[in-house]
Amino acid sequence: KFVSGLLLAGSWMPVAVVVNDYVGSVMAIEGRSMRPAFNETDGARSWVLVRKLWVLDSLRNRDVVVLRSPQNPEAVVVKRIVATEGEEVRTRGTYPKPLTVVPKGHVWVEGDNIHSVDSNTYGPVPTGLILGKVSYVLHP
Amino acid sequence: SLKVNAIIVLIYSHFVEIGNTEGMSMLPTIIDGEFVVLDKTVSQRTNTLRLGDCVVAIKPSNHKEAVCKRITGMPDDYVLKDPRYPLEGYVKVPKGHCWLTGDNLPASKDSRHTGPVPLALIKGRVTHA
Repeated sequence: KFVSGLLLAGSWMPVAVVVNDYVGSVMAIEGRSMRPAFNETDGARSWVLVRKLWVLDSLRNRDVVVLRSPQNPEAVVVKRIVATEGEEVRTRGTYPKPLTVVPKGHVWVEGDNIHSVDSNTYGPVPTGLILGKVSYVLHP
Repeated sequence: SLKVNAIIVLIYSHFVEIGNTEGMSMLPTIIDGEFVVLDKTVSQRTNTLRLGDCVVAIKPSNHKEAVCKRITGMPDDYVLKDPRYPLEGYVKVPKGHCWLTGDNLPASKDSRHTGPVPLALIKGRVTHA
């Protein structure tokens, strides 16, 4: 009877994974690139709800997005969209040009904090790398 | 039923997909309109991608479209900007990116025109054509 209960729970796994991949999931944010919005204190971790369904058609400035890093395909990072395609960006820090236009199909992302590796380092990011949008902070 | 549909979606997105191709950029390897079998697991295991792999990647300029090309440069490789014009010089492939070109160079729009592509945009590797 326990085994049949386990199998029943297990049979819901594919549904859970599909929901996780396509609708939304709970994720933890670590690191300081998004202070003070997330993780104000050292070692703090924020738990957020990330929405994935149809986000790519409704990306706006000020959205906080979760994306695969252009520098490391295995890593997932959290940044804020600062400019969308066609907009002009005044770059900060290490970018070779002081002013640049975001190409079609890309967005310019930056961490809220200056200690951030973001588009100022790796340039505009293709929207195909975006996994979801942070829609709700669960904790703290 | 919901569960069966979920299993099918999962298999298609994570494991294997049979895709339709169009265009002549991969001749003679892949013919216009040919079906390909894709190993989708490489999307999560990008460290298994190798130079020379034929892959399907999301277009950097449009996330709704995908292209089928070959990896002709891995991170930190130096590649000729265009082998047909060697005097144009080399490009160093940045970390996390790859250089994609079609096998049919005269008929392919690829990294030689649009630059290196982030490895994370690769969604599958062609195993059969």
